[in-house]
Amino acid sequence: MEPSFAGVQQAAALGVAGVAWLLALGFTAARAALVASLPLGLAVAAAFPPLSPLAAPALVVVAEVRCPPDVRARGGGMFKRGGEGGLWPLAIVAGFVVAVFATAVSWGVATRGFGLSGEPVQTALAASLVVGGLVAGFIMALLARRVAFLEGLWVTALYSLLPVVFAAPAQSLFTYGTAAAYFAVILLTALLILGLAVVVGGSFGFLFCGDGELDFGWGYEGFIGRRFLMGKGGDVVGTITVISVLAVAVGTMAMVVVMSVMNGFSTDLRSKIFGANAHLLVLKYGSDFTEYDDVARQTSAIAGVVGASPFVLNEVMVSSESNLTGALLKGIDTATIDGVTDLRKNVEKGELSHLATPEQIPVPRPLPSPGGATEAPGGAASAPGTAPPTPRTGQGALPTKPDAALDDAIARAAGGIGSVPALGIDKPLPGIVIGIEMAKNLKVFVGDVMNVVSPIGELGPTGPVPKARAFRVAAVFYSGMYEYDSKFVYIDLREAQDFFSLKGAATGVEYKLEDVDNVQAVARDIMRTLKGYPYRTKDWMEMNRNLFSALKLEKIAMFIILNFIVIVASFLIAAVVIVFVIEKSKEISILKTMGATDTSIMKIFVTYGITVGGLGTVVGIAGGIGVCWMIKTFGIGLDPDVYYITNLPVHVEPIEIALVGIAALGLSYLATIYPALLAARLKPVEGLRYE
Amino acid sequence: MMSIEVRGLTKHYWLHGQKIAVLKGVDVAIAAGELVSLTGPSGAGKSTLLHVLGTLDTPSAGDVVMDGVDVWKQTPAAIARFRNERIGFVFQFHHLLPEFTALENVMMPGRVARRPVDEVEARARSLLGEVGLGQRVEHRPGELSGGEQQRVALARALMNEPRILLADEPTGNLDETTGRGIHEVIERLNRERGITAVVVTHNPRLAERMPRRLHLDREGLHDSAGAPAVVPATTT
Repeated sequence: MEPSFAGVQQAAALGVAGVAWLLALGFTAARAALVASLPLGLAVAAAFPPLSPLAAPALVVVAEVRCPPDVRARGGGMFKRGGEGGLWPLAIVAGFVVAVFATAVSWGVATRGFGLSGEPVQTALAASLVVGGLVAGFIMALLARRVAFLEGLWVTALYSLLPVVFAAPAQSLFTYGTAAAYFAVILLTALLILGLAVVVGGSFGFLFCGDGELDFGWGYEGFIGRRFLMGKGGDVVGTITVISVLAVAVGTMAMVVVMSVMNGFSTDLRSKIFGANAHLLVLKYGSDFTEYDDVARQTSAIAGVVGASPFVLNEVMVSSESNLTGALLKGIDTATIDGVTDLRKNVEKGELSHLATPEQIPVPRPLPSPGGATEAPGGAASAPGTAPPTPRTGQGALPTKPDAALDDAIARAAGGIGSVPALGIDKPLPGIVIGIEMAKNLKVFVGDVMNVVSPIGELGPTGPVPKARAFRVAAVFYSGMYEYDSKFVYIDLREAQDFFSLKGAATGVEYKLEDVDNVQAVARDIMRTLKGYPYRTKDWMEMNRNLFSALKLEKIAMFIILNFIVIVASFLIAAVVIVFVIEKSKEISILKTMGATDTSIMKIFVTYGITVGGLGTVVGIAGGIGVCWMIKTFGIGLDPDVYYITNLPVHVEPIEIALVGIAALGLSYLATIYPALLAARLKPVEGLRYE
Repeated sequence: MMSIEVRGLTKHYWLHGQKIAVLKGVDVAIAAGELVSLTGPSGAGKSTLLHVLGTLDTPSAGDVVMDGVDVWKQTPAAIARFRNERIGFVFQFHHLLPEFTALENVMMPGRVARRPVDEVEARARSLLGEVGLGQRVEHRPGELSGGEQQRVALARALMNEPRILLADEPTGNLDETTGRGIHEVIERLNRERGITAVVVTHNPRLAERMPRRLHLDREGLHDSAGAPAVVPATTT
């Protein structure tokens, strides 16, 4: 029998908990071996499974019973506080209680207070893990009088049991369920967040309360740390320090540039989508939306609404004499469309207004004879031998006259200014606006005739008969989005209503808003004004969810990948601080003879580490912004046939720069904690012994 | 009043699994304001005893009561504060911080005590003046002679007005004249400020100048007369 979906997820949670417990047991075994002054090799061997689950309890007993008198004399022992202690159980209890409390509070506030469910609750829980972890770590450090790494691991291990015990609420975090592997990755990420927050909180706790009393002073410690950083000049540590700063700077710069370029693409895409589409649609259940003018009038006054325009939307087939393709036909109101989209601005050839006045659509001229004067389609003349005007995108001119069939079409169209005398129709053919890619595909120009076929036809003797109508190309637009330029066609609203036999109904009303990010609030106001059913709204996020979700995911993935550069740089910082601690062991001892506490020594080396990280971050961010400025000012050309864009776009987002800075500084700080603790734990007499 | 009382002090190290005993049941009492020399052969444990008295090294067993405080029963932070407030150290190799000027070095114990910087700087200048280095305040240790460095170290030891001064061969690295000068400063401090001073030295002539002389060897700690060191020879 197949295991149930929930059962698989619970198994995944159990697996993650197993990993957390193995880690905690492994480190406990190693710590106990060290407290018992057993050989280092034994401590390392005992830390790994399958030995660790058995070794941990046994070594804890050994450490408690056989702790050397020297260690005891210094206040050490397995279940003791301070730097010589192994594991302080009270800290684990306190840390776990705080972490669970933070989770419970955020769960309650998110689900009951704000009525959230599913994925949004994940964000609230992640925030609670950060805050809860920081507070728990701080309190644990206060109780254990050390950074309490091991206690933090145990809190994380205990916390990992929550999704196993409370399986149903954990699974409710995923509205549509999730694969077991993804569930496990999310849980591991959550535990990692909690663990890191506990370590950072613990380091703060030790820095400010490690001596058993609150001490936020950082005066002389910062002074010494900075002076140490400057060094004596020309020493190895100084060189490595400069390399570390550069490493962090390169990583940070790479993050700033890549994120800004991705932002550029995203912003470019957004502006194109918003240029071609409205921000919000009001639709109606059923096909009798005839009161669209009233709806537009009522809702236009709502705060945040810039413009409203009715529309009709249907899928059709369009054909010219040389080709055919599927299209989305949109009936628009030329009087109000400018308040909603940039269609008029996007017109490259012809006039959007000719939709309402098709008789003014210019007649295409015949192709020039070789060497003679030419006239570009649409009426723009150019001198012989000069290139016809190109669209502003640079992706090439409108298609040149391809074949004789098209010449015939032009000739026919020129004969009747759009009328179709052969069918006995004297009325000018209605206008249609098509995208530049479609114009290329169908090989048509402004003034050319093309047919539109609707699958929703009338009922004939043999069943539904598709409805076809001839249109003349009134204008050609370029939106910058290939999909729009190749698929969208626009005709006049009345014409569309007539073509689709809608009896005066529209598909909906589209809106442009002042602030696109405020779309949900405006949608709520509109629905309140329209009193809900049978109306409904659809916003741009909904319409482009897949696209923007993919972009967001790509950016997060890139942020994480690029962070690896900073992580490598952080290891370099850790290495340089360790070398630095060894080099400065005499100075550490001297400071301790003067009464400097362990926490003060730690502050000195943390100052050193975060100064290196900070300098690297500042240089990196400045360099990154500089590179972005250069890309924007001087431009990096792209092949528009491939990218549909002429230059590499770049958009610097201050919040993301701040995030990059926080990430780089945070990693630098994390890298500094361990070596700084090594310095703090150095016995005063160690550095004085040898001269 | 006793300034330093040591009872049953034992110190041993573990080296490659072997227990190496350095101090075996040392008992000593030093009265407040005493000036004591500590002599003995190399390896007898003089520096170790001084380090344990100065709370820089933990005893394996025994009690150390200083200024009425059983120091090794305090928390590490309290011990650090005690060291900062009540003990001044002078070492054979000066142990100045090379990145800092003479003035900054002398200021350091005051800054560790988180006293106002202005006040600390004024006192540091005054102390450097007292040891004859008023014109060298901005010089770094590398720019000072050995004797000058030791005087800076002495000024630094006095920054927080300690009750106890522990000097580990303060003249061991100096020529005799300069060394005598340093000793004279220590004697003057003891005389004028009533500081209890324990001076480890290999120089018998300098040791003889001290009112009380302790000798540490494999047999234990004795007064120079051969009597156990528990009862102070002089009390001021």
